[in-house]
Amino acid sequence: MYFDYANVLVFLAVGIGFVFFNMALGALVRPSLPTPEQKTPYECGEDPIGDAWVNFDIRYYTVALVYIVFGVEIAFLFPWAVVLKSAFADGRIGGMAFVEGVLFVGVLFLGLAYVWAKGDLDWVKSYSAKAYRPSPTPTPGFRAFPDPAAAPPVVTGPPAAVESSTRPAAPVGAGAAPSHGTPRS
Amino acid sequence: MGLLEHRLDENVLTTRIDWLINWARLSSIWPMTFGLACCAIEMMAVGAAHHDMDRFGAGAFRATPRQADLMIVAGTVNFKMAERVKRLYEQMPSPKYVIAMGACATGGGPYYKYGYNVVKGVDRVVPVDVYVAGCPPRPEALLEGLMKLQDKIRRSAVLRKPGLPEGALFVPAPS
Repeated sequence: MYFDYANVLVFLAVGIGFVFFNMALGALVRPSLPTPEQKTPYECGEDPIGDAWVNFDIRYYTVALVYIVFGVEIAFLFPWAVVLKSAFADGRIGGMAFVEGVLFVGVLFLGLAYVWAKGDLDWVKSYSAKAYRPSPTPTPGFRAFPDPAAAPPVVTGPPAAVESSTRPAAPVGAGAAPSHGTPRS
Repeated sequence: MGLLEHRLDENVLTTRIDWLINWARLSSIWPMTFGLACCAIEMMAVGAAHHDMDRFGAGAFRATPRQADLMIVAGTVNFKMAERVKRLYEQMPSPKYVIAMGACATGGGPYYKYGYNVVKGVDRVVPVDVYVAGCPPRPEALLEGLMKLQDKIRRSAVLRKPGLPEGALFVPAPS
């Protein structure tokens, strides 16, 4: 009985063996003259810029996921639509097949509605444009910085010292010699 | 180098295998889609229906050097392009062949004397197998160049050691 599946085994063995046989045959006769240019990406003979592996926009991922909703729908509804009429003519499972089809479409529609409400159908997702509105109830443990309730920082020393720390004082007056070099006569 | 390439002496087995490999190579020379000047128009005519380069198994113009066996340098090679020609040639896998098509690619052509930016022959950049004369050559001339290249491949030694007397299996093209 299981001998019938020997066809599959032979098919697999021949298929895999064919590949390795030809690769081994090619390794015997082909010339191998590698050049460093053969390992570089092909850009019409120009100097390649960057890598050949290009990142795609992550938004295509959402599109591909949403496509599954419609792709699965098409893949299942076509055979369902083909046999539905004969199922009704049969008279036994027609009503149930119809109800199940409608349920299936309904579930997929729920998925679509979820994606739509979440805004994933928008190509331009401008999260940054939405105004950030902090929660009216304070988060436990959250402390604003700088803390508005705290006392203002105490500055020690004269204000001139603070200024001189931020900006080096320039020499004042024509007679002030620079610290480096010799003064010009 | 392949494990058996150019390793075996000449006997009836190696000559037959060489004949088979050479027949396979010369019957599927895939050129690269690569035109530099007006000779490329004639090259397109060769690839089109009337002259039909595909009769010789060379009609599959590949858009990448990775899949190409033959580079038809069709047109004027200036110094800016010679750099690219060299790189494209080196990106092709072996065995690879070059046809210099037309007077410019052969030796500079009409730009030989005053062409300050023209390479005086593409053989200063890449090794050329067949030169096709003409300015531009007729499509028939390019077809003859292709047949010359096929003769060259037909004579080449694959498993046999190079330098042995050629021509045991060489059948000249019918005249």
